[in-house]
Amino acid sequence: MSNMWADSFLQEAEDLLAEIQECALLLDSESQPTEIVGRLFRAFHTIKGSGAMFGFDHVTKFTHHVETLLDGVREGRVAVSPQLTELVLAAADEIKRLLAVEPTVAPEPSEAREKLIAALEALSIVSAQLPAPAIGSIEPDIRAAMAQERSWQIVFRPCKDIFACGGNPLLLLRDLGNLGSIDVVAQTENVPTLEELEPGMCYMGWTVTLRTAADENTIRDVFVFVEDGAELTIKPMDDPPIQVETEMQGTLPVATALSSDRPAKIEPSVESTKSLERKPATPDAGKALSKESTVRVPSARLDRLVNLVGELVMNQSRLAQAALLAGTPEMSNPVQEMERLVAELRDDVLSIRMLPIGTIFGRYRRLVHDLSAELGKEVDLVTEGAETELDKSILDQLGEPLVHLLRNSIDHGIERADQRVALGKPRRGTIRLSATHMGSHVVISIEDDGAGIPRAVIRAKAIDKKIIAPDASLSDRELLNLILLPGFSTAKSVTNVSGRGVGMDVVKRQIDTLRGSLTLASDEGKGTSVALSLPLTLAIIEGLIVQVGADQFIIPMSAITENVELERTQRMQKNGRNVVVVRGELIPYIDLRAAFQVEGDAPEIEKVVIVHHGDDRVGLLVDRVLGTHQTVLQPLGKFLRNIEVVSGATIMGNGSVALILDIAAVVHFVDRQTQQALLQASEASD
Amino acid sequence: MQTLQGEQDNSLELTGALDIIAAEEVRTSLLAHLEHHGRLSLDLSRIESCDTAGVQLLLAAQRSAEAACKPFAVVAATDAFTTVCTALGISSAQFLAASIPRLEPACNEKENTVE
Repeated sequence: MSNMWADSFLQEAEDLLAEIQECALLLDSESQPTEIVGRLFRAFHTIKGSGAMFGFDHVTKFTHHVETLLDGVREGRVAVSPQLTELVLAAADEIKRLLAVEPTVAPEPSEAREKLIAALEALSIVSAQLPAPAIGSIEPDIRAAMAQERSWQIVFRPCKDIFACGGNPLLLLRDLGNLGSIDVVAQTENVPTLEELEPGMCYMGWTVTLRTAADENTIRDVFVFVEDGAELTIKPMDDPPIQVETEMQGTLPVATALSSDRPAKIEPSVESTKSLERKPATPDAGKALSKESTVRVPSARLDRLVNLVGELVMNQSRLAQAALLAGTPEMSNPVQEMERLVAELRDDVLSIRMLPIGTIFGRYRRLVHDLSAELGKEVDLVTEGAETELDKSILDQLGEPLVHLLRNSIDHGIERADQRVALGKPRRGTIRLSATHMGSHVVISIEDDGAGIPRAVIRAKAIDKKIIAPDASLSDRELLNLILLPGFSTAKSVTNVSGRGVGMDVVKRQIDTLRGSLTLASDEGKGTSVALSLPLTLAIIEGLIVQVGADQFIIPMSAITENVELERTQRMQKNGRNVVVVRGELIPYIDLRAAFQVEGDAPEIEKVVIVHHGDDRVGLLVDRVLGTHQTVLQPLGKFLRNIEVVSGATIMGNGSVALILDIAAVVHFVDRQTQQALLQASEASD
Repeated sequence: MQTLQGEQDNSLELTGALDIIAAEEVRTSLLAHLEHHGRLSLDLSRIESCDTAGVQLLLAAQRSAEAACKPFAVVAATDAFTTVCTALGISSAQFLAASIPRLEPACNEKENTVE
């Protein structure tokens, strides 16, 4: 078996397991779970079938038990219940474990797996023995379907290489026949002559009239393995008939045409083919085709594409500058046109990497479900803005911070159900996970309606850990932000879930790395909200080019609040720090020339670029501000990767390199320098 | 799969499995038979099993015969074959014609000169 195919199956299985998890958690909340059950069944059915095809026999064997149970649910023999949800989730976990085992290797015997299989079987059997309540639990549409048969018209034209993919139209038609009474008419007009025929290809299609009590999902399940690349239309007969883009075969019903006492001489008869009016393809056929137009591409290839486009953008910028210097209109026109095309290409390539944040919401639903069960709490997760798009590279790094924030909300925030009732709150706590666009940023917020963050506990803990003096005067925001410091935890006991004090600072650091910001708000007794503001993409940066000596640096535009001029005579210090007065407010600034030991004298009038640093403002003293620059961020090579004050580099139009400053790192770097200088000064004076 | 030349009626007898594995071999035999004979009569009374690719092959043979203005007929078939045809929605009229099939007028003249 080719590894490529096995990898492809594993990727597909991963997607299906994510879908299973999502569906399972929706089961309880849905008033009409028929569709959800159908999706669950199809997902397990696909894993089972594909697993068998790629040699994952143990997966197939296990999945069969789940499929049996879900089949019972579809038929109304098994009721939808919290127990069913738990079993489906546990089964998905078990399949994940089994998929980690090489297909040729038998998995280790597992008591937990055996118990799970027993539970799956028990639920099927128990429910089957209780027909009355089970029937009572059947959804109205299933009940109606059971009571009444319906006629369906199915048009199926498989992809040409169905035989090579292991598909067998004969078996599909037999499976359809098992659902009810069936009338099959082959469409053979595409079958070529012997000379043109490739015997391994399928040129036929079928129009099937099926009378059955089964619903559309059940019929569709028959085609689950051959749907890709096929045209499949399933319509109830009372709807307008499907327009078939084909010539139909003769109309003699097959069942009556051939007697069973063959071999025998057969009645001479020839039926001519009838040409029916050709109709445009149905919209559903278009849907089948659109499915084909999706391509799965490894994200590393996309990253390479983004890097190449980055190179292209930079070179285009150099070319534009060269054209400007040359001053020839013959050159400037095509260069301008190229600039437009490169910009379009850059935007398109970057948009390929954008993914809806909903792709990671699903896993949090499971997390909340499991954690609340573990901690004996009742919590609902409400998600909003799942369609909001973010660069994949950001989404990939957002997983852990969000997990930690949700854990905190459940563990520290949401109270136990009895406590909530006593407080006059709804029994079930709610965590709202939402994402929304705000200009060039996406704001993700996690809000809970729990107990909030107790300020007194924070203060006591901070004093205990000697983070603040007992008499320190802190604003409410400063007090709250103490929990973002390394090693700070207010949990009374360490649990498996949170409370080891290694969380919030890691979250903060991770968000800083993503060039984002974290804002905390908490109302004691009412709840807490954490807002994460993140750039849409890390690949492009809008920056301000500044010059210090002969060097150019880029300061991220999103951090800048304003620029002010500073004459040499206005320089002043307070408590050993440089400060500048801006509209009466003292703002500390960092002299980049001194910090980076740039040679040469500073000009008479310098500029202070004032930027956000957390909740504070800090200035960066530079010689000149040269203008704005949008660039594709290039990571530094391995020899320069450890320079902590820069987050990347870019090549300017004239071919020179400009480093992109990491504001937080620059502040920490200078803080450290200052501390060392103060220490050396005090040692020298001693 | 075996292809045997009928002794008396110039029919081509196919035996064994008429399936995707045998399809290329049968295609070659059918093409050769069609080239050397004025009609394509198939005896399927010893077909033991059959699949979609096998049935499709015969449809292609029928197309080729039509294109060459030569009569095509399946003169006998087993249950195994007819059952599969039934399941695939191929009407009896599609194959099972013992005598000379209807031909387009343009072919009639040629037909008269063949045998």
